[in-house]
Formats: sequence, C-alpha cells, structure tokens
Amino acid sequence: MAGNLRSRLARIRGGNEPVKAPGRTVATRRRASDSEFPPGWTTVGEGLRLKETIASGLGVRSDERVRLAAFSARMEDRSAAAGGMLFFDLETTGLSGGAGTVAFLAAVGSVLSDGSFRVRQYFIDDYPSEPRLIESLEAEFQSAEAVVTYNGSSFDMPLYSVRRSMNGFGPMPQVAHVDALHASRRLWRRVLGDCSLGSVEAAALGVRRSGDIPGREIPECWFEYLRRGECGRLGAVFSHNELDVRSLAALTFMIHGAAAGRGGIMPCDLVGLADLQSRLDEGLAEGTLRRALDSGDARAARPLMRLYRKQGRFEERIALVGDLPDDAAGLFSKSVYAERVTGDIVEALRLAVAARDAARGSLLDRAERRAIRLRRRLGEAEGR
Amino acid sequence: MDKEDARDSISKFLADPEIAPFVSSVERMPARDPVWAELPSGLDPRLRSALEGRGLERLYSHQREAWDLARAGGDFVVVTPTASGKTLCYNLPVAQALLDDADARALYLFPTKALSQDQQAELNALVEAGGLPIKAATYDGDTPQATRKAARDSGRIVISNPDMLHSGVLPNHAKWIKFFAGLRYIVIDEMHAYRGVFGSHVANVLRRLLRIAAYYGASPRFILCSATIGNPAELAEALVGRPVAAITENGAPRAEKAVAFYNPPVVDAVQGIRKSCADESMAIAAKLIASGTRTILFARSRLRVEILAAYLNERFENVYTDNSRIRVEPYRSGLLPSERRQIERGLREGSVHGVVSTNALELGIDIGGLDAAVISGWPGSLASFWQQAGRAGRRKGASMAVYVASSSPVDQYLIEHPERFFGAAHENARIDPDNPYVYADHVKCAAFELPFDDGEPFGPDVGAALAFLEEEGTVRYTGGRWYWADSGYPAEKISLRSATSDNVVIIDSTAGRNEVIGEMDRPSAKELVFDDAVYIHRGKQFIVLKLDIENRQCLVEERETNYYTDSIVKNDLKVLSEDERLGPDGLPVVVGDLLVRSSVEKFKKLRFHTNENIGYGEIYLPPEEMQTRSLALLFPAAGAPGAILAAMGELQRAATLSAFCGIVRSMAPVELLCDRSDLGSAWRVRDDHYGAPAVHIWDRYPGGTGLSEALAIRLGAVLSEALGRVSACDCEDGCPSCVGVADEAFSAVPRRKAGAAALLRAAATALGAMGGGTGARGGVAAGSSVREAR
Repeated sequence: MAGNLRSRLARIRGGNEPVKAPGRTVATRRRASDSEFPPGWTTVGEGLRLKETIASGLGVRSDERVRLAAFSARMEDRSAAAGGMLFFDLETTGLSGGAGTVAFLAAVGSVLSDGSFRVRQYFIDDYPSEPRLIESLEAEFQSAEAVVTYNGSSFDMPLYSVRRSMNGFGPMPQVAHVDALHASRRLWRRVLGDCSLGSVEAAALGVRRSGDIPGREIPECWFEYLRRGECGRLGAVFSHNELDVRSLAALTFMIHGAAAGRGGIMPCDLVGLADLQSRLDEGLAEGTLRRALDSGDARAARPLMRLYRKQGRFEERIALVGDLPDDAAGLFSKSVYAERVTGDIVEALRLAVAARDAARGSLLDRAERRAIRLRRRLGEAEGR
Repeated sequence: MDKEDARDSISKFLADPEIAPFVSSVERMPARDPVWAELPSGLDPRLRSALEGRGLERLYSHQREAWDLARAGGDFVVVTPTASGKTLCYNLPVAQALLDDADARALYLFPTKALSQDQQAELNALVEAGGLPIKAATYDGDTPQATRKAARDSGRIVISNPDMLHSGVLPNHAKWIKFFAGLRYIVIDEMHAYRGVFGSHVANVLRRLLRIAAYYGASPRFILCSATIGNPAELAEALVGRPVAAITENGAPRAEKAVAFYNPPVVDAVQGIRKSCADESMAIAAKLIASGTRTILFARSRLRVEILAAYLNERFENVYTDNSRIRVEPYRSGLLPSERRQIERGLREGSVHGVVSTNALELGIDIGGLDAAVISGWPGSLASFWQQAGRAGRRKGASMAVYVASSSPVDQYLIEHPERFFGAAHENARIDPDNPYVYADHVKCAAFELPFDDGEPFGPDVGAALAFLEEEGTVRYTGGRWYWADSGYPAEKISLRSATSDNVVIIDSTAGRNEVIGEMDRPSAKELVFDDAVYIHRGKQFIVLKLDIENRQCLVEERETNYYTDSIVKNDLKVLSEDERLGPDGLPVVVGDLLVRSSVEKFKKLRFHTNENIGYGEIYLPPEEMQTRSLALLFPAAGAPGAILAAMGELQRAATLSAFCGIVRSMAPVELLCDRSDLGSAWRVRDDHYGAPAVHIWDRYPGGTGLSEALAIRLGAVLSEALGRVSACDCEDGCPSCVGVADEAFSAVPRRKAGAAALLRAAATALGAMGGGTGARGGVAAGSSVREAR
C-alpha cells in the first residue's frame, strides 16, 4: 500500500481535488527580505530576532518596592523592586496547549532605572530556532526578582515549562510568579463581567487599541509567514504582544497602588479591593469595607465581621449581623443572633428555616439541625 | 451452595415434568481439575506474603507461565475464560518489577471506565494485603482535576483507557515525564474488545505510546489478556506491532457445565406457532431462582430487561413464602454508575438472586460466577452466545446455560442443529492498523506530540502520510524534521469509537424532586424516552414529561401505568453523491456519500403481561442522521447478474438479494480486516436513486473510515470468498454459517441458497474475479480510477 497511500488518502479525504503527482509539491518558503519584515528587528542568533522598544514610563520608580501579597495571599511577605519585575507574555501556535503548541513570540517588559519602560520581544523564524528563544528567556528570567503574567498560571507558565522539557532544558527556574488575573478578577469581575486583558485595560487604563488583531487569528499569521513568507500581519501581532506587556505592567502597578492605599482606581468592586488590601494593611481594608457598607453593599458585612473577629473586636462584629445579606449564610448568622443576643426564639426559628430553604451543602445540614433544635426548644418552652 | 447441591438442582430442573418434554438436547462439558504450579522462587517476600494473606500458596499453571514469560522479557497474551484468575497473570510480574525498581511504572488499559474501577479495587486489595509501597491511580475522564497531578506524579500504576491515552495523556506527555521514563509494562486487558475500526485506532494509539516512551528512553513490554477468540496471538501482534507469545492452556479448574436447548411447546400446530420465547425464558428463570439457583437472564433490549425484571419481582412478591425475599435486578446501560456498582456487588455477595441483563454484562465485569444463564433467542453471533453462556460457571459447583428458542427460523434451525454451536471455530477478531484514513489521523496526532525526524519509523509509510499532511497544511517540513503546524489540537477531533458520546440525562422531577436517575446516548433516547413514553428504571415506572434533545435532558415523573411504550423505528437511505463509478457495465459499483437516517415517528402502548395494543402516539423528534461513505452494487437487467434477478418472481428476487447482501456483508470484514459492526448494509429490489436492484454497504463511522473505498478494491475477492463459503456449506437451504436462515417473510421461498450462489457467481465473473489468473483477487479499482464530479 505504501506507494499509493498518498493517492488513497487524497481520494478518501480530499474531496474532488485532483490527485497530485508524487513528490514534494509544496513550494519552499520564499524568504522574506529584511525590507519586507516589520521594522525594528535585528537578528541575534540563527533564526532568532530581537526587538527592543523603550517608551515613556508608567509613573513608577524602579526602586519602588512592590509587595507581592497584593496579588496572591501565598506571597505573604515577599516583595520585589519595581525594576526587578519581569512582565511576560507569549504568543503561540494554538490556544489549547499540549505538546504540539509552540511559542513563536515572547515579550518581556521591565522598568528601567530612569523610569522608562522597556519591552524586549523575541521572535523565531521557524521551528528549529525554538531552543534559542528558550535560552534567551532563561537569561531574562535569571535576572528577575519576580515574573508577572496575565493568566500565566494556566497558560504561559505551563506552556513555557512544556517547551523547556520538549527541548531538553531542565525544570523551570525558581522564580516568584505573580498572575495579575486573579487580583484583576477580584476588582472587576462584578463590574465588567469579562476580565480579559483587553476589557480591563480599556476600562481601567482607558487604553483604546486601534487595529488590534484578535488573539485567535494570531497563530495563522505566523503560519502565513512560515508557509509563504508573508509578513503582512506580523506587524499587528508584534504590537499586540508589546501592548499586552505594557498594559500588564501598568495594570499591575495600578492594582498594587490601590491595594497599598496609594493612587486611585477606576470603579471597582470595593469588597474585592478590600480583600487585596487586607493582605497589606487591615486598616485600609476596614475603611474600604465601611465605605462599601455605607453605599449599601451588604456583601461587605461578612468580610468586615471576619476582620473584627481576627482583631478581637467582638462588640463591633456583633453589631454588623443586621447588615448581613439575606442569603443562606446571612440568615443563619441572624438566626444565631436572634437566639443568643435578642433571645427571640420564634424569630430565630423563622430565620433558621429560611436559611435551610436557601442553603446547600454542609450549611444545609447545619441549618436543618439548627431548625430542629430550635423547634424542640420552642416546644419545651410551650410545654412548660 | 456446594457442588452436590448445584448438580442436584440442575438435574432436578432437567427432570422437571414441566421442562423435560421440551428440552431437545443437553450437551455436557465435564469438570476439569486445576493444574498447579509452585510460586516462583524469585518472588519478592512482600508479594509472597500478600498472596498468602489472600490464601494463595500456589499458582495455576497459566499464571506461572505468564510470570516466566514476563521475567524472560517477552510480550505475551493470556487467553483464558472469565474467573480463571487472569488478573494475577499481570499483577504479579508488574508488582515484582515495581518493587525491584522504585522508578518503574506501569500502564493498565481497559476498554471502559467501569472495568478500570474493578481493577483499581482488585489492585488495592493486593497492595493492602502485602503492605506494598505501590500506588495505583485511575486516570480517566471522571478523575477530578485536583487529583490528576497526584496521579501523574506518584501513580506507579496508572489505570486508564485508550480514549484518555489518546486525547489526554499522549498530547500532554511533557507533564508525564517521570511516568514515561519509568514505563516498564503496558497491560491491555479485554483485548478482544479492540477489534474492527476501533481496534485499528487503538493499534495506532499504541504506536504513538511506544514512540513517546522511546523518546524518554523507555522500552516497555506488553501483557495482554483476552477472552477466547479464534486468533488471539494474531490480534495481539497486530495491536502492538511486534511478535507476541500466547498462553492458551488454562490451569484453573472448571466445574461441570451443561448447555440445555429448550424449544417452547407448540400452541398452534397448523401455523407452527410456539409459546412466547420471552415468557418461557422468564418462567424458566423464575423456576431456577426460586429453587435457589443464582441466575442471569439475557434479553435483547433495555426495555425488555426492565419489563422482565419487573415481572419476575412481581411473581416472587405474590407468593407468601420465603420467595418474597428474593431480589431480581435489571442490569443495562443507562443505569447510573453507582447503581451498576451496587448490583454488581449484590451479585458477588449473594444479596441479589437473579439479574436480567442486556449484553452490557457480556464484557468482563466482575459479578462472580452464577449458577445458571438463560439465553432468550439467538444473540446474533456465536461469540455473544458463548460470552452469555459463560456468565454461568464457577470454579466450583456445576452450572448450566439454557438456550430458549423462539419461533424464528434461526432459532428453530439451531434447535435442530445444536452441533453448530459446538463445532464452529471461534470468531476471529480483525483490525487494520494501516487503514490509511485511521493511520493518517494518528500520524497527525503523533506529529503534534513530537516532530518527526526524517526517516523515523512509524507505521507503514510515514513519509507518504506526512507529505499528504504537508499538502493539507497541517505539518511543516523544515530542517530535516516534520513539525505540527496548525492551531488545532488534533486528538480532540478524532474519536476512537463510532458511538456518539453526547448523553441525555434523565431527571426525575416528581414532586419538585430534581434528581438525575439515569443517562442514555442520544440516538437511544429518541427511541426510548420520547415525550409520553413510559420509562422503567429498576422497576419503577416514570412517564416522560419532556425530552429536550437540545439541552440533553429528559424530565420524567413517577407514575404507575398498566402499559409500556415501544417506538417504531424507520430507517432510510439517501444517496448524496456518486463520486466514483467503477466495475463493468453489467455490474456497476458506485462509491459515494450516503445519508443513513433513522427516525421514530410513532409509538405503541402495550398492556403489561398481555402485550395487547391499547393505543398509538405520535413522536415529534428530528431524525438521527449519519453521513458516511458507501459502496453500492447495482444489478441492471442488461447485465448478467441483473438478468438472473430479472428472471425471478418478485418474492424470490427479494429473498435472493437479501441472502446475497447478508453473505457479502458478513464476508467483507474478513477481507477488510474490520469488525462486522463497522459496516451497515441494505438491499433494495428497486432502488429509488439508481432505478435498479441494489445492495448498499456503508461505513458505520460518521464521515467514513475508508472501508467503502477498500471494499471497492477488494470486492472481487469478497465475492469469491462468499461463493466459496456458500458452496462449501453442507446445509440444506441456508444456515447461520452461510446465507443465513430465511426471514419469516421469505420462509416460503425455495432454493434461496442456490439463487444467492448463482448471483454471487455471476457477480464475481462480471468483476473478473473468477477463473484464476490475475483476476483471482481482482478488484474493480484496478487500473486508473475514474473520478466524476459530484
């Protein structure tokens, strides 16, 4: 079957296309001349190109300390100098991951000592140059105090790790990784719904990109370049990638400023903001939650109560029970309050039953047991 | 029940005056003693004590043989019946290897998730008994995300299925480095399930697996296990792509076993109508269960399973004796996994006394041995018959299978010729790993997993397949390697199985309840749980409020009815394109696209017990459609084969064409190396599209898998093989081994077999496949193929 496998495949699968003559018929790629390639790139290794863009700063000094706990509770006391943070983004041949998805373009951004912002982009001309790209990234990562990504914990970092193993590099370098998406979601999910970098940068930073290329078209741009040497759409991919890193950096500093109580932030979910702040400064979080409560957001009551409990401020904590929302947990707490503080067993039972009807999971069991106990207590009281 | 009791109750049953007159024959298979072997001397002391902890101080000979072959480093397949201790054939050498080397790993593959669970439990028991430092982890579609990483990193034995390996593990091999680097054994249980197109896919998944293992420096060995088939070593070698030794001598003991043939009494001697096979089977099962014989009753459909189980339970309830404690359970697909587990456990532990099942219980699921199996009518193939009969039978204690014939000609033929069950060779399982369509799909997946080096071996002709894919634009050749160059994830779009995986969940909404009680694949849902259908679930009756196909859910409500519902399925075909017209003028052969459509438009309401028809209902559901590739064989009257048909009367023409279609369809898999179930077929006395008598044979995978094209090439050979089979068969006028037994409609047609033979001979001659010479394996696609525009 060997000889006619191709023609059989073409017959079975190829619709009505005539069967091509044997032999490799795909034209070898026309190499793009440097004049056609988008400007600003220099060749730094075999098949590896580099572009460096230095642009105006983001209003941050490079020696400013950034407390990483603002982005992830796991970071605890760790901090990094603004200039030591490496903002990182990959463009890949596919969005689903797996061993066949390759990163062909990487951008790393950092704040320079004069306050300006530099983006370095690495681009490979073809598959065989991938190890060179990884070597460059390895060098970049080595000098970084922390790597910052947007959705990197599920996409860029695992992909980078897979690319390393596929190319015989060792395990991932030990460097702190901050995924700004998590903090971003806390702040804007309720306001924006969609927390993609594009939506958030438009809403929070006021960035309007013109002629931006949609992410899903990016793989095809590289394939066009590979197959036919077409550079037409590469320029758009490069600026998309550069802008992503720049926005990511701006967003990161904005989030940190708000969490640390400096600098304003556009409309966001105050409860979410307080959550970020509580990891840096509980006083700030308290103020923000109070503000949220005053503006009628009942969701602020629960975290504020938690804060007070942690600080041993029990009087103030109990005073907040009335402010809790009427969801299952809120109703349950109100039932406890009615029983223990106001001594109104009938009301406590009503609330417990309402909590049970709204609850699911383990709270359902607890509310059920509570209702049974209160009913019994009420029965005993009446029987007496 | 001990040995003597079981034998007693079986002889009592066979001597029962209500039964004995209708038992046409009984075949007895004598008991056999175990063949023992010593525990191997190299066995790790921890394993030895684990075995002794479970009361095992010796091995059966086949278990020892497996150990010896494994220690010698060979690949092998163990062919033994159920309940012969086959799991030890692989668990022992694998556990030893993992104890010897802390980095060693093993992969266990099972065809279904249910079987993986059984195995996990079995392994855990061994591991716990010996306090062995071996962690077994199941990794399949049901494994929660949170535990997947632990399974990857610390599972010494990973239990999975080919589908998961194909779409989850191999494309992400860089997350499994430690696992692949240490991979020592690949265990493939229930190997016989990997036949036909599914098996061809699995063989290619194994090629990919070996390639990735080699990339990480591992060269694992295979241990395969199979139920009895005609060609275990051949199938194993085709699956793994290298020589495989076969262990076929079973050392486990076998108790005495009887197969009884029961022909229900005639109720209408004039028309030859006998008592209903279903009623009789149920009565027999009831008698057996009531006498303390644990029994499985096989029924053809899920609906019948539920109805028969309900009848049996009703019967036992009515008796105010000890019988009211007897429990009979239905077992079928569509039950929740937890319910299945519960029933399986009940059977093993004895709290369930009888079970009514579809062929869902044919495959390896461990329910322990039962005392009797009742098979209601011909299950369609010899393999199915023996799988079902094999459900009765244990290491100790006599057992029995009762075959209950229906009035259908096949059953009546078999009652008269029981030797057909015993004389026949086991069926062969066939695969074609080099099927170009299947192969090219896996070359894609393999390129995604790892770029191909120039000249790297992989299957029959990887260079040609890659060149084809390069033209298609999915791979790129550069720097001496072939890289995946597409934004897709190929495994996602390639399914190893033809069956659709989108299920409809059945939700009980009685009194505001909102509980999932079952699951069903979409095509079956349309036939079984349409609006107003009565759905029976483990004896409880529900009425379907709404089948919402779009959202894949079906709302039901508990309601007692005195009837059940049965839908009427209509099938039709539509020729979509004629892509190639081949063959001579006298016997045109057309390859093209075909739409196979089945729709349910009506249902019957049938009263329980009497089956009296008490009404009809309409069903409004979109038809189930499959677009696929097909081959049509046309018989214009001007051609010699067509002339034979034209000379016949209407009924005889239909009978002949049907017999011709039947034998071609059953012989084609032999030449195409596929399974019977991979092909569909139909015959038309006057085809709507072609205006002549026609036989259609199609690929049962949506979109086709190249079987129709391959058949076009091998049609001549298929026809001469078919003719050979018919001529060599010594039956009078058709039997299941040749053209089949005539349908009710054709039972009055004489010389059906001769007619089919004449048509086969004329067709083979027209294709030039007769009379030796170059034409002996002649195909219609010889020479340059003609392609016509659609």
